[in-house]
Amino acid sequence: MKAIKAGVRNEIVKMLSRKKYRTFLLLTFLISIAICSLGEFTKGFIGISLTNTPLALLSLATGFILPLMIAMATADLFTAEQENGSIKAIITRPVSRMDILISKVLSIVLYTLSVLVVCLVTSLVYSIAFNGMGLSSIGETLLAYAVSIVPMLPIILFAVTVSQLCKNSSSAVMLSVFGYIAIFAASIALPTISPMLFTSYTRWYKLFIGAGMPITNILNVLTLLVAYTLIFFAISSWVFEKKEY
Amino acid sequence: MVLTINNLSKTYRNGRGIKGISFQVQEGDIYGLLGPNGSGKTTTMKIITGLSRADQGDIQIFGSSVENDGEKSLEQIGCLIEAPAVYEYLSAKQNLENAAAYYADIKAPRIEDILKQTGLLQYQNDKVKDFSLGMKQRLGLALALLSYPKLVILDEPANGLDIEGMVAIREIILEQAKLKGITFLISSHLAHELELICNKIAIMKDGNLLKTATMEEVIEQSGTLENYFLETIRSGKEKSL
Repeated sequence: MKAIKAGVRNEIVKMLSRKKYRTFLLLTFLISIAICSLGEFTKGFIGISLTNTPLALLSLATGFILPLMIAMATADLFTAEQENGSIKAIITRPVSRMDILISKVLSIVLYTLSVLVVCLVTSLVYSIAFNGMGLSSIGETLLAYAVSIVPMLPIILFAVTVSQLCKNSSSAVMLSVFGYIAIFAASIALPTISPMLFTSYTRWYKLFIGAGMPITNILNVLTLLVAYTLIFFAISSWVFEKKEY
Repeated sequence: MVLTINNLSKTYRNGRGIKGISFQVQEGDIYGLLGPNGSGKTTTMKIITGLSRADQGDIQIFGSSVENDGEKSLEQIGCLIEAPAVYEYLSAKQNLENAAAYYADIKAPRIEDILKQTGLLQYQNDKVKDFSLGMKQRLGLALALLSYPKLVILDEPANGLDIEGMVAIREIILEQAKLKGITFLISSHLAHELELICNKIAIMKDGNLLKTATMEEVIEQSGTLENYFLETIRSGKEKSL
């Protein structure tokens, strides 16, 4: 556990020391402001009006912004380190490879959470200040953001698996992004297989908001997402364990 | 015995690798692996440090098997394999802090101490990407020495360095061996460099360990390590003919 704690600390330091990860958080903030302003501007326009800006922003984040960021982060923390040899700095320390893998995955989860927090805080403050958002809507929004990390987990582990199979970081990013798009496109083109694909549930927060909460449906989706997460984790940890540097 | 290597073999897909390597490193040794590029020095060191796996053979570090108890073995080791494993976008100090996080007893004073010993204290907050090759090599050495290792494994530590850089690295190694009693296993293709540092030597070529000797035996027999190396290689060729 101590090794994982140290590993997570190190990975977070590494990520935040790089300009692109700080810039990404700033960009997320600016996109959030832009979406909120768009919501304000389109008020009253039937069809394009954003009735709940924080949730519209959440859909954009989970469907587009976060998968892109996850592809970039996994390529940096796995493939790029393998490519430039800096992964040896950890492999030659008294830490198991499983602990190294878990630390890297957890740090990506934490960074994903921080992007979600930036979206949440920005859109909530904006909505409360300019739209007079009510307490019930605030509670609903908080719940929606909290549960949205779950569909991100199989996406993270999918990208980790891809990064294990690639030899250079740019191909890892491209393969992760195109892989995600291909699975997403398959779910649209073949509606019958859509319920079985993890990319179909990036907006699963919708199950938690509204009048009734379909518990059975939620449990089914949760089981599917956990299964995908575990399968991708098993594949990536097997490959990581076998790797030679 | 600090390190015991017994019948170590590994073959890569291209057919290269190492074949039945065996040698022992005793406490206080500065043990040199001398051989041309591709002779199997790096492969041997990668297997010792857990970066690679052997097809056959056994490695014991202070009695612990690397195969069965890799983490315990790595607690006693510091290493620099091929190029220094550093994060270029972090400072020297941050690189050392990252490594220190894996050891309970390595705190800020030790980091400052090792920066001082390797002459990097005044550059501790500079990003590694701005370092010269020599400075990166010294940082690599600082990372290898950080955790008070009993055995330090250095693969071509003088690689690409100018004369001043080579002397600086040599002085650090000799000082650590003399004052701290650290055992070193050093690989190089530079015979003169190893002659100045090592007390024992192993000659490697084409994945085979041809001969081991003390430096005294080498000098007595051939005058210089370079001559000893050439004689060993030539006699090996004659035998194969």
